[in-house]
Amino acid sequence: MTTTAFEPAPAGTGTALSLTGATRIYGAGETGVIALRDVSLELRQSSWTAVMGPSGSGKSTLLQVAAGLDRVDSGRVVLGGTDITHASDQERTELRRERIGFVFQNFNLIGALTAEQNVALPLELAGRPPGRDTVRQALALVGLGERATHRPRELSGGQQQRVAIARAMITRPQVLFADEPTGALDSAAARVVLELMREMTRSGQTILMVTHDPAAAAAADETVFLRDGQLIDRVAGADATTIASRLVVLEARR
Amino acid sequence: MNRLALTGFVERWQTYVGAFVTVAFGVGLVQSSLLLLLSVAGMEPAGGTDAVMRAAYDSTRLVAVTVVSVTLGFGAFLAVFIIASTFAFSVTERRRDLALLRIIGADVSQLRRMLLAEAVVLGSLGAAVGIPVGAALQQVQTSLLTRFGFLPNTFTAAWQPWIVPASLAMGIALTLAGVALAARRAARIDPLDALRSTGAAERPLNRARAVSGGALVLAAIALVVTAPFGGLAGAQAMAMSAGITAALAITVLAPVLVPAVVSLVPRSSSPVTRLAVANLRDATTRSASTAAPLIVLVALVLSQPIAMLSFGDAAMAQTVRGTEADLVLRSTGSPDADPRQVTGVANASTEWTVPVRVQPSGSAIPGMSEEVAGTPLAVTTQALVVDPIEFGVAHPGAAGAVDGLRAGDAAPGPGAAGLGLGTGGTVSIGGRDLGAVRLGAEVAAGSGGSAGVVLPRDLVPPDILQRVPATTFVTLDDDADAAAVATELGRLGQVTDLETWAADAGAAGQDQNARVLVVVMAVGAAYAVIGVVNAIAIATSGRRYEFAVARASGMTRSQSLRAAVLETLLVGGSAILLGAVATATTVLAVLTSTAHVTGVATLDVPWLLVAAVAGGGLLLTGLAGWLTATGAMRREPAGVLLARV
Ligand SMILES: Nc1ncnc2c1ncn2[C@@H]1O[C@H](COP(=O)(O)OP(=O)(O)O)[C@@H](O)[C@H]1O
Ligand SMILES: [Mg+2]
Repeated sequence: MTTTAFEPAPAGTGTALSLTGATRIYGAGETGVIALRDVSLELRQSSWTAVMGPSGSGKSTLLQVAAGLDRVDSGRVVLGGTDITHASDQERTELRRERIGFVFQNFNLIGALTAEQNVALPLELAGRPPGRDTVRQALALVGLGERATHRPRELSGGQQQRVAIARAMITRPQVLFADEPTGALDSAAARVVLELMREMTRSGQTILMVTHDPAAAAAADETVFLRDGQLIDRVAGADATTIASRLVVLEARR
Repeated sequence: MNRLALTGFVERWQTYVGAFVTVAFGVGLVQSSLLLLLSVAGMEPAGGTDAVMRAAYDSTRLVAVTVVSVTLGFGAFLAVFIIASTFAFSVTERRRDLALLRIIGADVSQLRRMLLAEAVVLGSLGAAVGIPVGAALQQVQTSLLTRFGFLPNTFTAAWQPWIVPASLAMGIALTLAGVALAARRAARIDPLDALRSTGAAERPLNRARAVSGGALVLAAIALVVTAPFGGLAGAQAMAMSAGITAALAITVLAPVLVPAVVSLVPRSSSPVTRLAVANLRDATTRSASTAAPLIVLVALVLSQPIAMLSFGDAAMAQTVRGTEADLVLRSTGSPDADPRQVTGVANASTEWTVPVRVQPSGSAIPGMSEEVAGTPLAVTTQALVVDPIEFGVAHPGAAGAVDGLRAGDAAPGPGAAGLGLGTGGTVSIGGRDLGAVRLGAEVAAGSGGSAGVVLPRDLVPPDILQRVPATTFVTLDDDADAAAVATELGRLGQVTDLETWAADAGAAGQDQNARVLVVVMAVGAAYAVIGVVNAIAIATSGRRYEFAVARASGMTRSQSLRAAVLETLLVGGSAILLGAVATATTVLAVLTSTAHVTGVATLDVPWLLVAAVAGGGLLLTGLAGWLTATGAMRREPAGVLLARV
């Protein structure tokens, strides 16, 4: 992997996202699982933070809570100055339309729609259908200008993920949430995706990314480590080898 | 967003084929039934027909109107049912896509509008095809109704231009009614569902389901419990409704019931069987949705004939018990000589069956003045015309009710329940006025067949009695020579003993019932086939990925195929079993009601039909499962697994 060097974050000053004492418990009573235990985290604007940890440590839960897809049982979540801890379903929907974007491991494109239709969808849902040029431009930015009319099943995994990134970028979200965005890709395709994400932070967007891949984490500005729902460690600017060895220690201490 | 709905349509056309066919068929059937109904209602006998023919015309018209109305209601109900289950299914299958739309910013009302838009498109397309289908069905229905004698051979239903927009609106209304529930379910989808790869474990029974299922169970129990107190006619209706209600209850509770039935399958060492059973019990909603149409079909097709046949038998048995006769003489019109004059005859009660029309007098709503409430509707029914004294001897149970009948009197018959005859009215036969009658005490069941009214012979002109079928119940003197009397009476018509007469009359009655049933059941069966095939096609075609996983885990194509077919067969078998359970409530109501009303529990099960429904149902599910699974496994598993989108 190449992108191991630490790149200083651009001069973003404000806080894009903050979690304070976030706790999430699935189920209740004896059988309840504490997926997230008193996690506090602050993301500066234009920063890129990776979340790592053993399977079941609460990474996905952290992402979902931060994005307002799930609610915390206690604690506070503030996104771009708005407290979303108790936001209604409609308010969360507005948030997803206007201010946040998602990228997932398994791409999650709509199979019935072409690449450009998939990319245009968020703006259409928000009642601001984009012009054809805007969509083509977004696809061109991820290197898929030629594939606009293809359906997801006619694209490779890496290409599908780039369509998903174009879809997430078209609303110019403040924060991009990515859950294992490179998990299903080979290393070459993963590198392209990571480079695109770096581009996004350069234009002021903030990224919270869950990953298993030390190389992907090394592409971020900072990596935080979770275990049993708790934030136990963080490193900034480490390379893949350092991150990998931290992870090994973490998993060994289970 | 609506483009999304349209693209979704094109992409998932297999899901909608069944619903489309249903809409087309439903609109066609409702349209043709409506046009038939209008033509039948306005039907006039040819000029020059006399009173008896006119009266007979009226009574067949009534049967035709009933059959066509039932077809219409049935058609609309089943169409909505199948469309609703299709959309419910399509929402389940698209859970991930719908959740994904929520994640990228769709709000609840947008999802709902998308489904409604799909319904409108489907409804309009279905109706566009349904209108010509309706014109064709009109021919089929007309020929069926004339062939079975419900309509005169000369009958043709008129085409009305306004039916085109009406049918279009009907198609859209049917689909909108069908989609309403699915739209509500889609609104409750959690955006997080898009992130869970295998879908969160579905709660088999949410509160709404449990509540409505429980309410339906209670309703079915209430019907069974109250049926014995409704008289034979009321009990029959309640027994039929009990089966349908129980079937709907089972359909609602199917997510727990189907897996419960499947768990009766003994543990198998074959991986194919184990996979099929595990799949079934895991995907409870899918199994339930697949089973639903078959459960309703089985209950519908079995409970209606069982109730009809059993109550027919019970009524006939009751008549035999309520009738004292050594011999029965059947003739057309009054016997040529008076049977009472034959040597050795102690009593002879001749009874004529005449179609009549009764215009009840007084107000349509009891206790309200006639000016306000209007006049009650005229009643078309069969009248039994009798000699009161002899009738009372032949039917001791009715003696009290008929003994005093004079020319201004009549008695409500055993079939009067629900006709709304009131306390009196004017009687006419084919437009010939017989004057006003007071209605007194009711003739008990078992004494007058199913006649709506019993009239004294003095009231009816002899020329009419000369033209209608007559039955004479004869009792002999203690010392009479039965054979000699029979020979003597044989000159006047056909002579048999009471049992033979009852068997013949019963068979004739059941024949009429059977013809009504054939027409209505044909409609039900057509729908059910569409519903069953549709459910299986949707369920199986949505599982490409799952099949690919099974094959990637080492199963051969034929093993996966066998597992899939076995699974549909198990669902089909459970559905037939559960349909039989629903039918059992009808059976229970039949047994308790016939025992209560006639003193003897009577049950008549058409076993041939049961076997045909069970065998046909299994064959149908197996075939549909095999065809769709073959289709779903056509692509190589590797391709399917990689292209998961
Ligand atoms: N919907 C849920 N219901 C119950 N428990 C859950 C649910 N989602 C996650 N969990 C549990 O919460 C813990 C954290 O899960 P998750 O955040 O998915 O971990 P990770 O993404 O790090 O693998 C795990 O123990 C998991 O079993
Ligand atoms: Mg995870």
